[in-house]
Amino acid sequence: MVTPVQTAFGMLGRGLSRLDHVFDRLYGSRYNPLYQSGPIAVALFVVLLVTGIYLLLFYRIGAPYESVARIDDQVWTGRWIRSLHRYASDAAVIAIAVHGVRMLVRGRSWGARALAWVSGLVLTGIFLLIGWTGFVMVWDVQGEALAREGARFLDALPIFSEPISRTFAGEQPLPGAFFFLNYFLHIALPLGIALFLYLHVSRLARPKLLPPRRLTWALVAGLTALAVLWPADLAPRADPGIIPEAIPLNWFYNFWLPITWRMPAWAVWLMGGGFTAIAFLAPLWTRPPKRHRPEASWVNERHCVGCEQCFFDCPYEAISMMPRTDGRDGLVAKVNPALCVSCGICSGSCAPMGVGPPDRRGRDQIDQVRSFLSERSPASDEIVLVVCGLGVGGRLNGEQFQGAWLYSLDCVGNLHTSVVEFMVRAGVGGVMIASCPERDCWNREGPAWTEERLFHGREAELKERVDRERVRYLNIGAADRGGLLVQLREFQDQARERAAADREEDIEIDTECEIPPHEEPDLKRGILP
Amino acid sequence: MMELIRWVAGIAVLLAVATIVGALSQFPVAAEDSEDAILRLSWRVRSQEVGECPTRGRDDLDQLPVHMRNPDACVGPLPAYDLQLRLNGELHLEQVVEGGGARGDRPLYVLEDIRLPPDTYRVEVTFERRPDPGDDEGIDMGRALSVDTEASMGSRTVTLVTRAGDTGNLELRRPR
Repeated sequence: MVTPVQTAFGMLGRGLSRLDHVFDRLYGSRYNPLYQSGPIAVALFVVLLVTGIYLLLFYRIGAPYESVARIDDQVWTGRWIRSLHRYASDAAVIAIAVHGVRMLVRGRSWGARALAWVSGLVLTGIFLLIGWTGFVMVWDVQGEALAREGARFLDALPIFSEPISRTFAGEQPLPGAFFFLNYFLHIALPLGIALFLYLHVSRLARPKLLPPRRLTWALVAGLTALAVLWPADLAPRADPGIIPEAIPLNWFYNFWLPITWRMPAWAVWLMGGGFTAIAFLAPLWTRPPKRHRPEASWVNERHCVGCEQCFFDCPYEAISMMPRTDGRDGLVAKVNPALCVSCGICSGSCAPMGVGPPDRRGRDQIDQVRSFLSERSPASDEIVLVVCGLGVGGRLNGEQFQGAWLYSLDCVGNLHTSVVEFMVRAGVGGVMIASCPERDCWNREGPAWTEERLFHGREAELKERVDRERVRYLNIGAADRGGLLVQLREFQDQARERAAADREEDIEIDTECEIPPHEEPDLKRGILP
Repeated sequence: MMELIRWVAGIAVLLAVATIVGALSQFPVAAEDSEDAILRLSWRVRSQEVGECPTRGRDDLDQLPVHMRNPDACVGPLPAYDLQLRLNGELHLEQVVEGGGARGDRPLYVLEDIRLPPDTYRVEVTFERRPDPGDDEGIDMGRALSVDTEASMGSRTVTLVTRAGDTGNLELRRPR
């Protein structure tokens, strides 16, 4: 039974894939910013640190607004650096939101990934809190509104004997301690970012913390251009004696302000607590029912030769190498089920086919491809299209193509190269492997390892004896059905030409090498006529 | 040609995203629709202590941690205070203010925002100790705080009623 949440996620997922497709076409899959929302957020955090250090040099706790105004008066430096600081933080919120939604919709929030999900939520919270303190630091009308709202929320808690809100009543000028605390938090909280970022990626073998260099610089250049051409306004100074008519609001961080203004503080706590609880409990409500959860990989120790390739290839550090206990020398691979996400990438890495999730190890794949070929008997000008079920393959369910047979895998990274060899040797016209874009693999490294195994000799490599002309590998987005078909037609044409050439060659060989019956060599005695 | 279209579209999307970021970064929101003024009552008072204040002996003090060895230890609740606000002679707000904190033994405070149409008002505020039924006649009720003055309250302005200094009587002034 499909739950409403699954239906909603399915629709969102399809929408995301279409957006991915548009961005793929515009910027190419390598530079598609949607695939790298996490690394972009980290890159923007670095921009915030650099610009923030400059701004702190000029910020004065004793005269917050005046010092920011002075920074803003530095036309050649301060103004655009402050604006870059602001816009980079805004863009970081977009990147974080995109990252979170992608992970949630794609079911990458439960099981072994729960730690990343939870630490990601904490990171988001810290990021928003840093933003809150940053806006208060300026002490303009927006900063004052935020401080008042924050105080109102705190006053609803039975903690303080006097309301914090009295601080902003205007009896006394605001104490320097308030601005010092704010300033301290704005500097100290980024340390929390570093700690939780470490936790966030701690279960990844090779976390990609930054986007490709060109994309990073394009982002920085774009935001700098925006900061120069459209510097962020400095709102009027906070004045406790005036009720502002309008507040220039930063909607990325303070979108909640117009909502909470009209709510009692207890209702805000209730709503905020509810949302937070729902988000933190996502690992529970997004995980599939037990019977549908993929099983972790396991190792058949009889087949394991201790080569360590699965240990190197596992993107989640779920495999470790231990001394053997079965009387043989060397090491044996062990899978930690608590860390394994059942991506199956180890299946493709193991030459002796001794590791992988149940039914997806190399040996299982050979059995499956054998029955696949025997059922369909592809002709020599027909193609087998190997697709990723999590990517474009998920959109082609049941679809039939003229002259091509669909062979879907849970993840292309599972594909054992022996399967490709098996197909080619069985006489198919070609094997086209449609993998996800490299930076958008659900299992992180499936496309990279598959390409290396097919064409660059990575274990378990496709043997040299396999004609590479009959094997094509491509990265394609989940919604790019059109692009896939273009590539498929092209590859099919090549396969047909090859098949035709083979047929012609056969005829020529027969003609040229035809040996008259009376001149047949006596092979037993090694005598040529 | 397709490559050129791709480039142009790519830059157009980038510009659109940048414009959205720039706009949403500082898009004004109406903070307050009404033109009302605010009369803010905000002050803090250390209440009179009405409980028993026995003087502790040496033995009692020795049993206490060093930092708590105060010979004059008052026990009992603090008295409540009556707050009244009259605008142009009419009672606008009447409240009983009790000591702060979970045990009611912390200083009293007042924090009220009263929205008023912009105008000139005669503002009378009194804040005095509320007599307890068990109080003896002629008991010292302490000093009452009060103010009685005219205030011109402009549109979207805040006028503060607070104490002059930490110990003074109530006064009306602009917040700072």
